[in-house]
Amino acid sequence: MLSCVKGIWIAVATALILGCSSADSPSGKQQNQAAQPTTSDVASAASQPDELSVGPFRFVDVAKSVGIGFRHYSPLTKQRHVHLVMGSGIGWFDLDRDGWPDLYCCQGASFDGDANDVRPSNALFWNRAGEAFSQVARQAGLLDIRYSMGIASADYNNDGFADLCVTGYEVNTLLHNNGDGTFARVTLPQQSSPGRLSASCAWGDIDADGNLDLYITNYAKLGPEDYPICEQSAAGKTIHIACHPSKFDRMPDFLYRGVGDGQFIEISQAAGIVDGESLQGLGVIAADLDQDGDTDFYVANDTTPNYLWENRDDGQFTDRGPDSGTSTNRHGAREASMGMAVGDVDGNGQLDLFVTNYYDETNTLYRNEGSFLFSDVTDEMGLGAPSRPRLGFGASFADFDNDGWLDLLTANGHIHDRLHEIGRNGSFAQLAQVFHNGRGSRFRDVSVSSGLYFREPHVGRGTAIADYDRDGDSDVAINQLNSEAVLLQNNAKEIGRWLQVELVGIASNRDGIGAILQIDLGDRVLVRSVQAGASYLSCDERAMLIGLGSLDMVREVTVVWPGGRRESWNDLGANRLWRLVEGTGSVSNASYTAEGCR
Amino acid sequence: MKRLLLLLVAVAVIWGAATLARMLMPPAPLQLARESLAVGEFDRAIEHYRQHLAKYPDDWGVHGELGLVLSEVDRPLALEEFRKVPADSEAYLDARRQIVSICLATERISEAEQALLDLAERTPDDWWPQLTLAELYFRQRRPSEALPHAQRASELNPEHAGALFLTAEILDDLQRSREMIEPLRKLIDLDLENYAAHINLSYAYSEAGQPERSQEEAQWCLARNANDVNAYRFLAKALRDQGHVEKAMETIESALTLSPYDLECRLLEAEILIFNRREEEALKHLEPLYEQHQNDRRLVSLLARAAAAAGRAEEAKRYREQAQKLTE
Repeated sequence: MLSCVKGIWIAVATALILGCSSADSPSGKQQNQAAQPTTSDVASAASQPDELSVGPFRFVDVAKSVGIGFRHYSPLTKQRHVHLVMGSGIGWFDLDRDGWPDLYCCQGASFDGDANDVRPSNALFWNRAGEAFSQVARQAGLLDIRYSMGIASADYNNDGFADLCVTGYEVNTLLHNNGDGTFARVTLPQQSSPGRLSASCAWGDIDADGNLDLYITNYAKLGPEDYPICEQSAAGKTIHIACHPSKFDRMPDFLYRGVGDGQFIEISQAAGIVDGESLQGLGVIAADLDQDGDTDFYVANDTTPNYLWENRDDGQFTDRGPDSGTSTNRHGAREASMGMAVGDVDGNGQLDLFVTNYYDETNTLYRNEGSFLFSDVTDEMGLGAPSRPRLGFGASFADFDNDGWLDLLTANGHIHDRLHEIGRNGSFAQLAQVFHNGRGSRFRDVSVSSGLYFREPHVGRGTAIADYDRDGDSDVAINQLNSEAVLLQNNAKEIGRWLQVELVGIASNRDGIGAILQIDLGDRVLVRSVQAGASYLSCDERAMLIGLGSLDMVREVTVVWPGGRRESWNDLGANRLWRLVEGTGSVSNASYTAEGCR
Repeated sequence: MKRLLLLLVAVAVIWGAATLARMLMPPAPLQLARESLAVGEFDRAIEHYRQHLAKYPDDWGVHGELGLVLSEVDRPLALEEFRKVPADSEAYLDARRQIVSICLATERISEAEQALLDLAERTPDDWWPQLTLAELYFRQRRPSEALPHAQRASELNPEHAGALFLTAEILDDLQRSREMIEPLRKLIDLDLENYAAHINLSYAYSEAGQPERSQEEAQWCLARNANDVNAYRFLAKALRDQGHVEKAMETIESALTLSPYDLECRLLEAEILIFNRREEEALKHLEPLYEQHQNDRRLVSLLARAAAAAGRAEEAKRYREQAQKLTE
């Protein structure tokens, strides 16, 4: 079944791409074939025995076998400087428009300045038709040995090629995709600041002018001279541990408005997101949470109230966190808030929010009731108890079995590696978790049956979703602190039909970021949000994979473009990619125009 | 033979003379003190002890005896007596223990702590000073300091139920509820029918994200005490966490039949009602608790949430602002 589906996809993708992609492989991508993994390597890795695979999912880590040899590097100092334990993100984007998502891995760096330090760089892995990846960071001009945190990809200048924003310690970088496999660094206001630790970033079109805007969360100012250092004593022993966030100087987040021609101005103050005291931002999501046609932001703030910035449609944002019920959990407690995911998990047509939290807290699922009112339904939906013994970072919603319901994956791992030395619980490495969505009523933890990766502890951080091998299911890349990056190939035994949708904005931004998709399955309507920036410090593939269950045809897909304009396409066949070009659909059941190029 | 006989006679004469002399002499103060004590004449005993100590000021054992007597009638004086016992005396450790007892009884916490630390250092294998230190710190709301001593006491005396229970209590105070499981399980191993251990274990399992086990413990408790509101609540929470929302609601209603104004039960009920989009009912059930618990952040937050969903904007705003203050 796997190879059959893959074959169909390749045929469709090839037909579509041949018609519109002007980009060839990036220069220098040709690799020594002998050094590349073969298909049989992949197959071998994918078929390792797994007696516990009796649940709905099965994932196999194929990173090594497909040539993703990335090891995160963030050596912990004796003083346990906090940014060294925060980890880094990982992101999927299509570098060269060849239809295959490529993988960018954010790299850490040492803090001691050891002269003998290896200083590895960020990495970019070019996807060679889903069978192998080649490291092309050098050829692409993306080598960077500074400490990188977050990544979000979007075509911010609407030239058809995916650009990058990479945040980090002291420097944030905007990288323009030249379209020839190389990138150019672009000046971003306030792109560097001593001691500043920026975290996640997300793209969205806040004023629906077709120019993408950018939100960057800032975690704290950490040194370099007065870097907070903390100790904890117990059992007659004193150790250094990463400080509590309350010890850090805070910095306001950044909001940049794209003014066209790839230029940005910082509007944080003018837009009202610098409101009162600054908080420790980590995750951020840009989505139209109240479906009023504009992009709002939800920001995970570490141990402080989360922001829910409502776009007032007048260039201003208002924090609706407190009155929406999303700034704290149901009991009014501020939580650690690291990564986040957005999606309609219960099928009520509204975008729900999920936030990962600290050990002994629960992660939190906020059910969207509409009109900016949310309910914390974590425990009732089965996500409370399993998350108490975990410290969550990455969080991704994806329909792993294509049954039409969003499942959930979390990457976990503590920030403290020495708790055992002072008699405390809380393992540094922890088990990742994957939850199956039971038709919107409850999540079930199916980790133990989902593959070896979920039965071994890791120090997980960023997670990102893509169907990297184009076999019609969602795969997962995970960046792990001081460890090898993981690529979990989805090998679910029973998998539904699917639709892959890629938006092409004309009046709207080229990527259609911020649009809402409504997929009419007949008995219900799926709602999906097009995002650029997700999870913890990471970003998913832009094309959206939508599970259809047993349907072989979708009656109607409606796209609500940024700004609120609605457009529909009808009778979309399953198991293929549909590229929906703005202006080619109709609200009156007009048939889908198969292709179009900007 | 004759010589031997003479020798025996001589010995008998000397012994008889000595006995007679003793009978004619007045008894020693120490003996008098003990005799007075035996008949409950404390004041006289104290007087005799003092007479003895005036003559033998270094008789530290007797200082200890006097201290014990004084502790029945005048604790400060007793304390003074025990304090006199020097560290190189055999009576020192007992005197320190007595100092601890008196100081704890008279709220002389600092001196009790010092005496206990001293004892703990001198008798590292004795569980008593460790456990007493743990209790002292726990009562002083110093759980971080209490914990290592409670754990040490349990190591030294693994079958001491009090040490195990105190360890669990301290861990709860430290919001390390998950770690309560181990001492409570050990306690149950020692005493299968220990109800307090079972009900606390149900709570600990719940906090640790193990609802199935929490449910088992709650059901164990309810089988023995069908009127335990906490057991119903833990059971309801465990059922809720396992996805049995309707059963959870039935269970929490049973608890509320027994105790209609139980805050914890009403909070759980409200959470389930809000999940089921029955916010008006949640509001109706929570509002009567407000006056008594208006500083409970959880209650006020749920009131804010329920009021907002019920369309009562002004109330929601008021509750929300108060919840924010409580959060800060």
